[in-house]
Amino acid sequence: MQNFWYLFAAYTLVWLGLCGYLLYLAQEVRALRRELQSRPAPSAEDGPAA
Amino acid sequence: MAQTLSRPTASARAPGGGLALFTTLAGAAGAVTMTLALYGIFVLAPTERTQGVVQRVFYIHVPLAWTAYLAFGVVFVGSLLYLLRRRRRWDVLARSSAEVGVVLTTLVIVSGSLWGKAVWGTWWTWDARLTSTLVLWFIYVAYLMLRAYVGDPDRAARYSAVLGIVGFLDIPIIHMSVIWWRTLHPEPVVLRSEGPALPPEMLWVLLMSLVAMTCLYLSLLGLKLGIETLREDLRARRSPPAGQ
Repeated sequence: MQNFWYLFAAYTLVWLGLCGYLLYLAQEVRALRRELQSRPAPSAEDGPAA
Repeated sequence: MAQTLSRPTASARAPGGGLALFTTLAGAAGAVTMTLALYGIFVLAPTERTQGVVQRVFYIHVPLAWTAYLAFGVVFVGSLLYLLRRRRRWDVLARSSAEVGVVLTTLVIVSGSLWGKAVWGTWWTWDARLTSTLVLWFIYVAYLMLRAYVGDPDRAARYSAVLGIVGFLDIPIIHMSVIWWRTLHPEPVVLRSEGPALPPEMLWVLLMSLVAMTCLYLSLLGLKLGIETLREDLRARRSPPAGQ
């Protein structure tokens, strides 16, 4: 029965890893969208960035 | 011009309708098939006689390893096409898949280590299969670090494409390591010239888990591709090309 804890730990860590990565990606999407909305799209009048 | 400034681009609204749909469908398929796979793993699959319940780590460890190989296969193809055609989208595909591949390989090593502790009595051994897998992990961590530290995006793409291609050569070595060298890690039980060495009820559960993990990989890849597309758009807004 001691081996059950290794089984439990393996599945728990795999799912925590996958869910953690998914949350990280979701946060990144949210942050990038927020930044994109705060920046206007470049127009013909805009010069190259300094 | 005011019209240009006020109208958001397509990528500001969403990272692409087709890509978003692909990500959602792959995620939904992954959730359904993973539920079925977990039912198979914990209810339908028989308990292995020698190892006992801990052998069920096999049903997540092997699909994670296969999808990690798939992820690095996508890096290989994306890198090769980038070097041949110099289109940014191939580089975006390669670097997105590399990150997902590193996450999957990390989970392969963690799950394998726990399984190893239970059946071999050690968390880690410098066995050919384990060592070559660790080398694979280091190669693609180096790939991601290269991308982060080389300032010029074109140079970063070129250098990492070369590393992405060379790094992929480790995968056949990992697969063959248990045949070429005497290892603690067992030999392949599915991809063998004599056919799978698993009973059908174990094989079906493994295949279901493999399908589920592939769907999850595709949805993570879709999400990461969306992020990279948004990032490219943002970079273009920060520094619009001269003459625009």
